[in-house]
Amino acid sequence: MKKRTLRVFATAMVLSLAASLFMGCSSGNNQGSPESTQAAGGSTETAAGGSGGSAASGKDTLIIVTANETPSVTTNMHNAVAGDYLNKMTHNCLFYMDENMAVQPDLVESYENPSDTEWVFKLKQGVKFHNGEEMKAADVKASLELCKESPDVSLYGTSTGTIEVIDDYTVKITTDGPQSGLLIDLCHHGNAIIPADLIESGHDFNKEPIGTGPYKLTAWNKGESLEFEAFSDYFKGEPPIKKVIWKIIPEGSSRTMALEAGEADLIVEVENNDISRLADNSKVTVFNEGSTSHNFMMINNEKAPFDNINFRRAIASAIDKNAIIQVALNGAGTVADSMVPDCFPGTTNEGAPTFDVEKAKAYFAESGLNAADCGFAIICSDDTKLRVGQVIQSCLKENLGIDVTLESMDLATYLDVTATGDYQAALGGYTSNSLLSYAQGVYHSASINASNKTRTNEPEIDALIEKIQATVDQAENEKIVTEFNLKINDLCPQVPLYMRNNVRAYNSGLAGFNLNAGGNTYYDWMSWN
Amino acid sequence: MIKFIIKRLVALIPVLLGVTLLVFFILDLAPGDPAKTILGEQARPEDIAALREEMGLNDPFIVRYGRYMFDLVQGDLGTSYKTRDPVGEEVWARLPNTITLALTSTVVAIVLALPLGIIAAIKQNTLFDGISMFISLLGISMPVFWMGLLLILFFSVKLGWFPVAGADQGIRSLVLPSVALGFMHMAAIARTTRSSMLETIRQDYIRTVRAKGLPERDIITDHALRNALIPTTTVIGLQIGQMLGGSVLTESVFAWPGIGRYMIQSIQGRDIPSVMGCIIVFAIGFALINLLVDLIYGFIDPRIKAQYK
Repeated sequence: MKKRTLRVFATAMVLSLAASLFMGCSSGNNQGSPESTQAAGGSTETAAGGSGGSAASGKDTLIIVTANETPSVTTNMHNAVAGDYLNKMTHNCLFYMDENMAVQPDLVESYENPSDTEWVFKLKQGVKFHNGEEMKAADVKASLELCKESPDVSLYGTSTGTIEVIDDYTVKITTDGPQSGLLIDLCHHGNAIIPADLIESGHDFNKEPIGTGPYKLTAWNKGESLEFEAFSDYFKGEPPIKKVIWKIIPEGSSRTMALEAGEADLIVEVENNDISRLADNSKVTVFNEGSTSHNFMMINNEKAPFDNINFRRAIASAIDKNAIIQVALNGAGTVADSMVPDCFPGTTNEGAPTFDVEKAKAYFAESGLNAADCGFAIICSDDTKLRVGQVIQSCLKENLGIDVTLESMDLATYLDVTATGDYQAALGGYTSNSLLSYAQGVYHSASINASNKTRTNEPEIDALIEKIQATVDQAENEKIVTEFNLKINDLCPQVPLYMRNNVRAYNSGLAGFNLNAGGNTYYDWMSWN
Repeated sequence: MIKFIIKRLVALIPVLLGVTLLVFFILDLAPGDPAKTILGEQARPEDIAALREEMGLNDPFIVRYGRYMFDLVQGDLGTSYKTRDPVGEEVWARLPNTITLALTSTVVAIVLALPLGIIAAIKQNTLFDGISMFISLLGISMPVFWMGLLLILFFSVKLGWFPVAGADQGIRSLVLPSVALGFMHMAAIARTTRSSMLETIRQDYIRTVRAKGLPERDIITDHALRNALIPTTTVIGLQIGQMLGGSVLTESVFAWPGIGRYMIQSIQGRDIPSVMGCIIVFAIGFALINLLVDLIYGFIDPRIKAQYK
């Protein structure tokens, strides 16, 4: 009897579990999803089944899917791209970069530059933080000084020199020598303005970020999502989209399918293989335009055979960069020949080696080296780089007879060996908002053992970079940039490969989508059609 | 019984000590600087040095390990290098999701595997046996990653029944990841059940009850199955243990916010306190599941229960 009872009980348990699963999938088809709110609001259109999602009127939520979760939302505690996206929603800086990468005043009403080292900023009045306090000059001083002290972002605090509060709405910065990159540094999230009293009291900004931005963080479900709601007192006016949810979906195919199934409205990282499929979907718009992401084969100039300038030029001329873009990026990029991103004012491709097999052979002959002695290993830290490496391997073998091996490595090890110079060649890239920060990071000798991975150590190059930094006049600055660019193209310390495109895919019902070459998007500019 | 449980729990202490020392040592040997990984390629050497100092990475291995263990015995799993948040909070936030997925996947695996294994054994060398074993072979051969994508494509994109990813829609979010993971683990359980049943139904006592004229259904459910379940229970226990830490791919495909994915990200970022926190939770979880399996043996077979002292 007892056994029978147990059996009946077990069967009942299994059946009830199965029933609950079934009920979960039938009756609750839209329960709990943001789309259900929209349906309840009067629209009969639901996201499920509607490829590309609904562009239903009255929709007030934007669901963004991204691959990576930010380590922090505290502006001075990270230098992660994933965190930058979120900080731009909750905070403002003194300046921002517009769609054309031009620096524009944000919290600043006006500014003047009485001398090359003095900057006086008049702040906007009546700007409210999320906690209701008004933003004043003391908050600016405290925030910029916090940036200088924080290892994660102090790189962007080096140009700010001494910060003085003149009155409640005026701040003066006196830089240590002329700093042409000051305004660009002031656009970085590390210099976002947060309340001075909260900095003083040790407020946990990671739990409750307080800024002046268009959105407030309302929930952070670790590993899953971050939720934001519009800030009604935002100084530029309350954003049209009232709720924004960032969902973390690490797998690229799952992100694409989430957009196709209508569960997401915008994909931040679109898989290269999915671009054409999404472009064919009438309910999805694919944004695919150039960026400042300069990708290259870094070569250790301190090691043979890369210490031979003609060898460097030979390999730079022997690689078919178009093939790389097709094979590794599925077309989402453009050829890069210049040693710096050619999208900044004053930059040029002149003098940089281009793909030309005959020239490559001539350079190689001039180098006096023997192909059999020139084999080297390329470190590839992800699948895309591995595909890039395979094209390089094939080109160098076919055009110059050089044997190349590919070495897979995880990111942490790659960062370590390339920074310390314990490598021959590696595939990498550098994304920057200005030519100055690119040049300082990639070619200045002070960055050796850090981001100057080619270990370029040329006093003339250092001097030119310092001159770019010290020249505040824009026209004069551009001339020096050109001079520097020509010199570095001639030196050929690396092998430029491609400029990666910024690719996003979004619900076609979304209006006001914007993305500049530096990857900045302003979500308060967007609305639903 | 209580004494047996206490003995097993005390035996966990040296296991945890060994695990923490080994993992800490291996992570310390691994190339890659956590400070460089956190600050990225553009960081300046002085910032990297400052962060290393702030994280205590300049101290000798033994000092760091000692400090970690001192905090651990006080219940503090340390602070994540990457997020600067307490690891305990990070792990606790994800642990319920991992346990939920492991348990529901186990239910899926058992519900599929037991009938398949039992009927395959009873109908040995018939078409049904072939089909059952083909299904279990399919489960073990199909990568969970691929299986997950197929399920999403059909049930989420085409039919719209279940969400593509995430854990924000309650039981609807749980169905596809549980099926994908459960289907993979079903194979081992079904095969073990089959072979165990085949061995049991050939025993003399089964022949005796059959001779006594008991209906075949009662012979199987009341006499054969109970004895055949012991090896199956062992396999189920091991599978749950594996699912606690080994469901990384399922978590990635379905964006399930569990510990497996968190641990992989921590390993990639050389976030030693976070990796240690995950390993400790897995080690405790695995040990407790093994203990539970041992206790279940006692309920299945009273002879084993008598040995618990």
